[in-house]
Amino acid sequence: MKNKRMPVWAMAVTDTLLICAAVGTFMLFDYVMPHSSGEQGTVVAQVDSDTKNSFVLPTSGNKETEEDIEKSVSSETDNESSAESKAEAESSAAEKAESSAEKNESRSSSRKKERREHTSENWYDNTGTDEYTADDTLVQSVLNADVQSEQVQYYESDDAVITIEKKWFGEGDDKVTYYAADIYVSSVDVLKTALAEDTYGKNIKDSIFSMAAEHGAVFAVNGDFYGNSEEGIVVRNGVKYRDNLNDVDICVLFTNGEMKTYTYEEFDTDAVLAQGVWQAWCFGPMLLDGNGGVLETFNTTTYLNSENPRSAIGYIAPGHYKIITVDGRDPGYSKGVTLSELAAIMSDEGCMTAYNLDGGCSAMMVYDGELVNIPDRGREISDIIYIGG
Amino acid sequence: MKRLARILPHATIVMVGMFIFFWVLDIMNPTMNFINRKASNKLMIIMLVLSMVTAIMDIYHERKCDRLKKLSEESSDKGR
Repeated sequence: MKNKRMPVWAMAVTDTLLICAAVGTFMLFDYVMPHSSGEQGTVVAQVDSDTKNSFVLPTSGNKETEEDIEKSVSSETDNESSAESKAEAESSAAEKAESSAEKNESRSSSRKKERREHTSENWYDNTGTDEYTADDTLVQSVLNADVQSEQVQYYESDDAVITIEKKWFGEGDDKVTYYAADIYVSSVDVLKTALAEDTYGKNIKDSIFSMAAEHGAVFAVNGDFYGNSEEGIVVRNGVKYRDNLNDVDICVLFTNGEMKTYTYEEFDTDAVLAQGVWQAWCFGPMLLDGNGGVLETFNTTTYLNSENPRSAIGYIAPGHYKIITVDGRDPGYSKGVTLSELAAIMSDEGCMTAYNLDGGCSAMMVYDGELVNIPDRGREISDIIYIGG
Repeated sequence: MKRLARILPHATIVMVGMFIFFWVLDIMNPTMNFINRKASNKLMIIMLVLSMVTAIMDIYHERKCDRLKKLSEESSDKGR
């Protein structure tokens, strides 16, 4: 009996299908199926009573204004209140809102001026076409943009003050919309992180809402999606889960409230851990030079540097941080930003140090159980950064 | 043995195809670390073993063919 042979084209198609099936199976096993490592972590830092409540929270000027505005609005709807008191309340609220807007505007313009001076002084000759090089044109376009803003949330407690503002610049398809959370905490342990299902492991994921609800978070954003990788330092709330390094930049929040970013080459794990690490993220890249200037180069690729939704954490001073969520992939509302633009935004927000967190569909900001931003579909994530609980 | 000899090259093609795919993904998104993962390393060892066995079998097959060709040439020479 003659052995029938498969035609070459059928063989090629079969092999291609087999490759696809093998890759799919591998991805399913290694990137989708959760693997709990059983790792409980090692405590590497604690916030002692001396460092508790060591940072001063700002006065509640904003809150008063809001309350006044609320009062004025309620007085408007109150049929029993007199026309005179209505007018007084309205004018008082309007005056306060106006003076607050003026203050904000002058603060913003002076900060923008300082930042421009800083970047122009330290800027380098950006003539290279290296894919890792910051795009000076984009940086300058963001720094010079007419950023408009409106306050969308305000939270104040004994431990934290959070002001969330919606900001936008550009027009038409070039419009960029982002949400900036200005965060003051009384001590660094107020800025917490949580792992999905409270378990350290690979591909263990949960929705940002359930993680926030489980931990009683008032405010939450996505973290660095540590669960997608087997390498990179992971320290959460003073507990070290792993400290093997990969080739991404590292961001460390110390127990004294300082936040520093490191390249993987300069990161000395033992020396850094000895300083008291409260949180350590491994995603990146780092965006600013430690003095508020946009870095000359970013540790990234062309693909990752494209316009996307982004999340980033920034450091202004011990106890004062900025978390930004930029929306994207929605022309007309927000196109998303490159890393150069994100760095410029963080610089413009007054940050000294800033670090890119997981973005794309993961870029989500939640306040009081509800989404603040408009994410691109959204997805389940490995970890969150939160306040409250 | 004959069946194995037929399957092995295809298995090697599949493994190599997977690694080309991972290599492209790794260039685009190195954060995902497609090539240096523990599972990828195991796959790489399998690919190396498969490549080695396929190459050995190919060499053996080629030498066998040469030998048979030589024998048939010698027998045809004797026949003349």
